[in-house]
Amino acid sequence: MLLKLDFSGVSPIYRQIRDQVVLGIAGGWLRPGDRLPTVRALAEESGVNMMTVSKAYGLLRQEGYIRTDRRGGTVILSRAGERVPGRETVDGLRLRLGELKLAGLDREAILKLCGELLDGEAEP
Amino acid sequence: MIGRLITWASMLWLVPLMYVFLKNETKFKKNIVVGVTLPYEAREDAQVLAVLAGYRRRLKGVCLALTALGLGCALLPVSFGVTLTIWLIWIDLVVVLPLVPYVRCNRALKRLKAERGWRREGAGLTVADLTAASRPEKHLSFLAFCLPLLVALGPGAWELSRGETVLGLVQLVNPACVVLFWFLYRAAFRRKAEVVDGNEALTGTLTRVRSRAWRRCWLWGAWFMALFALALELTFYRPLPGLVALLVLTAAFTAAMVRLELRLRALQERLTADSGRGFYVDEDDRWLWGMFYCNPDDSRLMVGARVGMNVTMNLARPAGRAVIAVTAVLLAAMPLFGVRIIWEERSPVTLTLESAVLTAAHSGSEYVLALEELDTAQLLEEKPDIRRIAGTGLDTVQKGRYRSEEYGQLTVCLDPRTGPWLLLSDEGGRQYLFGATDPSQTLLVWASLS
Repeated sequence: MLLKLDFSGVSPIYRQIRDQVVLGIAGGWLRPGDRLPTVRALAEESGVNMMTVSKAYGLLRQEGYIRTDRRGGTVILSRAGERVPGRETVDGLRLRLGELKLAGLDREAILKLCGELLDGEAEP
Repeated sequence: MIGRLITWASMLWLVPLMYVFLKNETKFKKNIVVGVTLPYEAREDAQVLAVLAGYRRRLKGVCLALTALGLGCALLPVSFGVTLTIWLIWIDLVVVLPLVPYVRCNRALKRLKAERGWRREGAGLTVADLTAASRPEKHLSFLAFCLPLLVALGPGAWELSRGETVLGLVQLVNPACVVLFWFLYRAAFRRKAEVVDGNEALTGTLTRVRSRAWRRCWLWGAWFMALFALALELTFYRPLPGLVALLVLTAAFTAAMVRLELRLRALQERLTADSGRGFYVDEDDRWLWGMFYCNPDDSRLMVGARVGMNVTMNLARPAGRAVIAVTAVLLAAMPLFGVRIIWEERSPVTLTLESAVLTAAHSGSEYVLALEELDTAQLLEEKPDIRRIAGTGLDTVQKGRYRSEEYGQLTVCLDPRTGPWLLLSDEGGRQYLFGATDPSQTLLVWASLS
């Protein structure tokens, strides 16, 4: 799976790493048990600071997407059974839906867009 | 005359080498041509092909002119110092001038890219392959470098064991180089995956072939240094066969390295022959003229070159700028070494005897012998056949540590053109061979000693 980082974007790099790993898991590109690179290896691969990668991993760990241990490294966790999204996710979704409404999309158009995004989620 | 021709012959091959590598840049590798990333459709574009043809033509012209200049200069009947100065200026020109058509072509292709709208959305993104980065790193163990290290250590250890300290120390440079090569193999290697597009299998293969070429480059380098030590040892005792062995070895190693690089480039070309149709990586914004990497968002000092196996510095880092600046200054200052040699050539060797101290001097070097330490002295009408161990050996001056079949090791400071020469030995058994440019100085000292 490719990480595409935009250094001129408004979103901080650690957030971009976190978001793309989450999208990768949702899209099936990263499966439970898959190993993520070490902090050092990903920093070397992407050219970003090790602290930035560490911060992204810390966030993913805190949110329960990954687990890190000394022997196994950093692995993707299974989230099967977690049906209820967190409050932050729901708030974020509400905000995005509001933005789409203000952009002039009606309910049908928004649902159609959501369907397309879900169908095309294999392209993180 | 022969020395001058050898000097030129040792570097004339640099022009065809530059030509081959720079011409090779016109082949699409990883969607990059002459340092510009273009989509697949550009490969058959008439304007792109015309720009590339113009580049090849200009490059050929520059390289032919440089070769003609080199051949012409090789025949100039001038002293070694002047030859060396011209030769070093010519090397600077060979390094810089072929890059002029390259930069012009790079800029023309970038303009064309902008005009045609070939700059895709997403260009300028930093792309990292999670899968490749999570694979464990495989390195050659130091043990692989141990055998060449042992071979390289042999001659130096042998010379030291028989009390030849200078020769031993000269020979120890070779094992030091083997250790340096191992260090560079480990430290300078960039493990970044060779991401060209979304094809993970392609990324894996490209990364693997580059890593293999890198490994071979340093391991072969270590073996080269080991064999170099043996050939160098031969030159100490059988100069001509030793020099031939050194030349053959160096030529073979250079040919092997060129072949390794060109084979890697050919593989990169073949493997990415179908890339550039959908998503592809475009980092042109970070490469000045397609050859200097400058990315303030990249924390790395060294990054892999975009094609081939080389590494380069990130100019956005102060250390990167410093390394490039020092390299540029060294290149520009190279001819000054030739000027220094001219000065050495034109300085006379003087011999004086004052306050019971004999001094042989030449352009800042002084060899002093107190008369109270002097044991024997002879005046030689014919200069013994001497071979340099360490020091200067020019048509007008020989100074430093030398060896003679007849007298063994000698400390030498003399003008080989004018005799007679003084052969002296001190109480410690050390021997000296002195001779001034002005023979009357030598004779005056000899008269005082007598």
